[in-house]
Amino acid sequence: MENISLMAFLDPQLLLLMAVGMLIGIGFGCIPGLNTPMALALVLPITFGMEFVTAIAMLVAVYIGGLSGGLISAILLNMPGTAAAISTTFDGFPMAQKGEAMRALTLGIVSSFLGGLFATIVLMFATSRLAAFALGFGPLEYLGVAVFALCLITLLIKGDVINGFITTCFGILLSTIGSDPVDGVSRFTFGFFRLDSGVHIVLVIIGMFALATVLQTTLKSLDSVDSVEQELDGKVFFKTLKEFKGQIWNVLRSASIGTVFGILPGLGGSASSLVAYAQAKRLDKDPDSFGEGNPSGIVAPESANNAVAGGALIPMLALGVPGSSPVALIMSAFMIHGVTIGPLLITERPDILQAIFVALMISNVLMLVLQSVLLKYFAKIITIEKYILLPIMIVFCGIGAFITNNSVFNISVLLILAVVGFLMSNNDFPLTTIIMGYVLGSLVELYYRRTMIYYGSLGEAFAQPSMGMAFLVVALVVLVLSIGSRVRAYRQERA
Amino acid sequence: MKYRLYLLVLSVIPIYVLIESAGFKRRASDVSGGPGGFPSFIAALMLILIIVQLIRTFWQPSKKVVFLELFTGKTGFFLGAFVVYIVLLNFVGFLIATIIYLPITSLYLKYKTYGAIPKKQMIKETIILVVFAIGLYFFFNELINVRMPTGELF
Repeated sequence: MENISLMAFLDPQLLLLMAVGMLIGIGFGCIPGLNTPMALALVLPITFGMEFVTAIAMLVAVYIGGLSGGLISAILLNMPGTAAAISTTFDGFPMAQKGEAMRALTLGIVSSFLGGLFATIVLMFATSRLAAFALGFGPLEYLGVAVFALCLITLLIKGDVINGFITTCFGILLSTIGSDPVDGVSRFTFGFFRLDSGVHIVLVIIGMFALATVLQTTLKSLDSVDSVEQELDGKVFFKTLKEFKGQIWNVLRSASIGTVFGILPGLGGSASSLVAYAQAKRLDKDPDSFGEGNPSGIVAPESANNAVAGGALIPMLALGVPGSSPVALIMSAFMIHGVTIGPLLITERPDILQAIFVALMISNVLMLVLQSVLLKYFAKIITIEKYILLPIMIVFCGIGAFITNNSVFNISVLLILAVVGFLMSNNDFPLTTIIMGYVLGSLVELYYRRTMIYYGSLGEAFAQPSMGMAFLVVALVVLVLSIGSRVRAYRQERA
Repeated sequence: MKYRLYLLVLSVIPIYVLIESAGFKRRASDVSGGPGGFPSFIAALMLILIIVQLIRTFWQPSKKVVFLELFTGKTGFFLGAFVVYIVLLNFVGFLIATIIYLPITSLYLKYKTYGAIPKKQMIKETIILVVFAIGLYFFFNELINVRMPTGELF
């Protein structure tokens, strides 16, 4: 049985299908508005007639491609193709603007590969144990993790810390637009029923980052932007590889964060990459260079968001619980092929489990090879004349906004968000904290309310020591310490 | 002074949230604060932070506020063109709106960057961008089956 599943990977046709799936995933990942679930939904019907292992291998390739594809547009255009690539823009885009697009892409691609590889190895050895760990998480634990991640934002604020907190609050309030997570009451919709489902994260990312950046670019002389020479030599790839000697701990730490966040349903890639980025900044020798093209600022989020893929498969394989929508789509392929997943899969069909491990390994290698080969062509995007690139970017922003729920209304929302983003970023209000507030705010509200409903009061929730309480205490310590250090720095500056 | 005005405008957001939240009904059994509890807490926090910033402006040097730049020059044109593009999407749909929008904005930016554009180059670039718009439409509509916006007229 084992041999049949694993032997399938020796078939060149399967490898070719995986490569096609990978390219589709990368394409959908790098175009804002298109996403991994869409790519998987598109490929899923094609896999119906395939052998089970071939079908799963192709879907896994699409999944990995989709997760890593987001870094391309994030680095080159400040337009994260996926929510998980938000943190990659913080240092990836500034590095590309300095003429080091190839270096930034290489750092991102190799980190994605290493993160994915790490998570696969973890998946191979600890699937059932990690699934049991995830199963022990209640609303208080989720609340603790979300609050902890939210408090890490204080480490990332550049400039005026109060402005950073104001924009964090703004991001959180943005996440409360639409139906509330418990009662379904419509909130802050200004009477527009289309806002009942909230402001989609794609709109916030594209509006605040991409479109606001386009408007920002038009403030400058466009030929001066073009005058930055890009180093597009293939040797840059190998030169950049040497940098990973100093990034081993960053990769391991970030990939561990990604794997754990992947295991926990609902937290996802964007939260994991934000936490990994914050940790990398906190532990770096030169934290002030973050946001200006620090390589660790690319390595951390990319290692984390690709590790999420392996982590997210753990609850699916061990418990039959899909942690995210792409995983739910992969799970549906199991059902279509008559394979029941859950605790029995590990003991009764180890061949399937092994096939998934191999598919993940090959997908990560394919991702590295394909993206490295295409690297030079991706990087050329940045050398396109701005007078052509900017209008095209606007059209892609519009498409991305429209696709989220097939409505032109979304493009109007996008415009408003871009105007707000432009006015905030030009007046020393950081945009990154808006996105972080948005991503984490909805989680904090959801799990806070669930905790309260479950325990009845915070007093009851904290009556017994728990992992959730530990997370909340650590979050409080991080908040107090970082505010304290900011106040000290401010006083020294004034003195 | 302008920065204070900017902060005052910003304070409209939390004030609006606080007023709206007060109107949300809460179930008697709901101990989590109801639909308005969490947003009210965050809005109150945001308002306090804005007030702190307002107070700080009294002893800090005045800051320059970027506002009018958004509506003038290339940025203003770009913003205006995007508004027109959205209106066009509603009336003539994606294909025609994009065919109109792409060459006009691109040629305007080129003119603003490099000065007068030779006629031949203008025609060549217009054709390339029109073909790009058509290609984009077919890629989404036909190849990956994602329907692009249709207008009232087309």
